[in-house]
Amino acid sequence: MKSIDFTKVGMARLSSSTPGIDTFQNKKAEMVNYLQECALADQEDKIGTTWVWNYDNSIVLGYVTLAMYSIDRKYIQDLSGKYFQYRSIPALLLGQIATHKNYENRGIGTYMVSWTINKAIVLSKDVGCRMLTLHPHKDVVEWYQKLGFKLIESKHKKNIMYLYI
Amino acid sequence: MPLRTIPPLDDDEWIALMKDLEKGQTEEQAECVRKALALVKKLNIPEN
Repeated sequence: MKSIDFTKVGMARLSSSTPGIDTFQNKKAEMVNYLQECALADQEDKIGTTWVWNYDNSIVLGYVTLAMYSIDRKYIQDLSGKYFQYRSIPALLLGQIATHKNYENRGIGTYMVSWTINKAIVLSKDVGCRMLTLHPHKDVVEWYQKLGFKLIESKHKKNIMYLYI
Repeated sequence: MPLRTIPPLDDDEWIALMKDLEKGQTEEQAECVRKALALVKKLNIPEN
């Protein structure tokens, strides 16, 4: 597999003039659909901000969509302890992440997650943000674990993951 | 298609998360974060 010349990689916030959006491909159709059909509207509505990595300012290598979020309790039960007084924990949500299918296994995904970890740490200095969280597809849970994310223990196997920052 | 958001946690999930949170970041997790930050610094991909 040919490695990527990272000196030709750039990144920017998604805009209506971002090149290469129409030719983005991923094994999961929903990831393509989100970028091409939903991401800009979510960004304009301030629901999620999408960051796009490009090669030579023409090919979209991958993207992430981030949002302020919180991990919430469904029920109210009296508990004690340092964090138990809260009913929600502030977090940065990694709401979407996808790599162009022709550029998989070349470090783009790892880089985008690393960049997001860095972003969460920077944000946490100005606003409460205890963790980076995501709700991944089952097939990529192990990959996130290798990057340090933990699965919330769940009887219902909800695949909710988090990384303390 | 919406963002993949996080469903509210049932009590058993919440308790597991809070207990882990009280323990804090393990050395293994800290190392993962350090590696991530080092990669971002090394590649230094510009925003354009």
